[in-house]
Amino acid sequence: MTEDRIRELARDLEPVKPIPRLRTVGIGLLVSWGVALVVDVWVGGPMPRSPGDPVFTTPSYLAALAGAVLVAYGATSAALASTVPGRAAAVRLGLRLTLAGVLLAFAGWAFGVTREPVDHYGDELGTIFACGVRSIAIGLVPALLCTAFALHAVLRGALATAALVLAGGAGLGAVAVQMSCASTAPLHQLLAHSLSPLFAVVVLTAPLALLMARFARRG
Amino acid sequence: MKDRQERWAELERAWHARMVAAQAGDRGAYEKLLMELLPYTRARVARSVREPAAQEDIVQNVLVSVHRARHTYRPERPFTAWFHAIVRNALIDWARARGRRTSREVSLEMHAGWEPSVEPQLPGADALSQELVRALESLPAPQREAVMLIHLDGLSVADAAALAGVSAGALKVRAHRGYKALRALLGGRAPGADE
Repeated sequence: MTEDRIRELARDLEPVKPIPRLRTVGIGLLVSWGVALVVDVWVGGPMPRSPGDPVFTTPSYLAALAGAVLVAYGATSAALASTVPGRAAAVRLGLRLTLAGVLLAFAGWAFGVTREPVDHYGDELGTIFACGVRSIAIGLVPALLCTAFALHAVLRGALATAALVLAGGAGLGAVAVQMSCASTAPLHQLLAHSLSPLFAVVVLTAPLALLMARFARRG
Repeated sequence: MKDRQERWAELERAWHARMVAAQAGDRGAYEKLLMELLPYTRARVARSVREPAAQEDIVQNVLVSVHRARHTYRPERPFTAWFHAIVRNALIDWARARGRRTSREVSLEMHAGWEPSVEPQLPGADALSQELVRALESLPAPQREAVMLIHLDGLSVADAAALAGVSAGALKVRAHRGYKALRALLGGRAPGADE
């Protein structure tokens, strides 16, 4: 009976194009992130800081920036790898990097409030909310591209994949906002930039997971 | 050991070539690949699942998954790692589905007023004394199931726990309570009473 099933599968065989390398998809995500940044500046968002800005020597700022980079890279690579059979090691590595990014962001905040002259500019709720929304909005573009790849590959666990996709996308958004936001207050950086992936996951995972489950291939 | 490694390397090369050909639409290579994977899949599934009917279902699910996910295989990656991940996923899916089925089942003890229309027959009851059958029937269902899976069906604790949908620890506790109750009922002549 199983042998008959094999013959049926072979009879129905159509040529397929292998999925692109994960590295290629990653480059595509970075390009889409760049496009989102250009659109953000075009609609009135702040320009990125110049490389000579003194804030690039501040440990708390650098920790928040590095944390956002780790979350963006880790969560995105875990999301992509989770949709390709046999890439469990890449998923584990991505999850570890994500966790390291979150810890680094908290460490940067703790260092900033205890060891640096405290700046409270940007600590108001409205400013925090605006930066958080901007992070998520910029991150939605690569997140949707990542979703498209997940739907084309083999989706396993829509909820977990959606959460990783959103964390990675909002992480990319957080990198962009961290590099352009005028505030250097540790609390603002933690809540509005570093934790924006967490907010994106809390708010958007359920609808994105439903969308994924609706359109996913099964495997 | 070296022969085994060489044999696996040879299989890896052959399967990789057939999968690449299958991605290009070569039906002959694809059928040959799936036929060659079949005994390995059956052996791998049999190591994790005891029920023969479920084994063949899982094997077929693996083959369908290979078919649906064949575009996710990249030629520069090892074929066996990709294939084993699909087998593992199929086993996980089966275990989850089984867990869901078990959680939906309702114990008849919760419906004390309900009576079966025929007398229940214990599997293997012919080989048991009437006294033991009666003692087993008087046990609570979870304890009876634990005792029967381990002592009548001869399953290991891990397999019995998987079948009952509980942890190995929980199954051991149920079995131990079942032995104690049987010992009390049979006056120290229960199976496994010494354990």
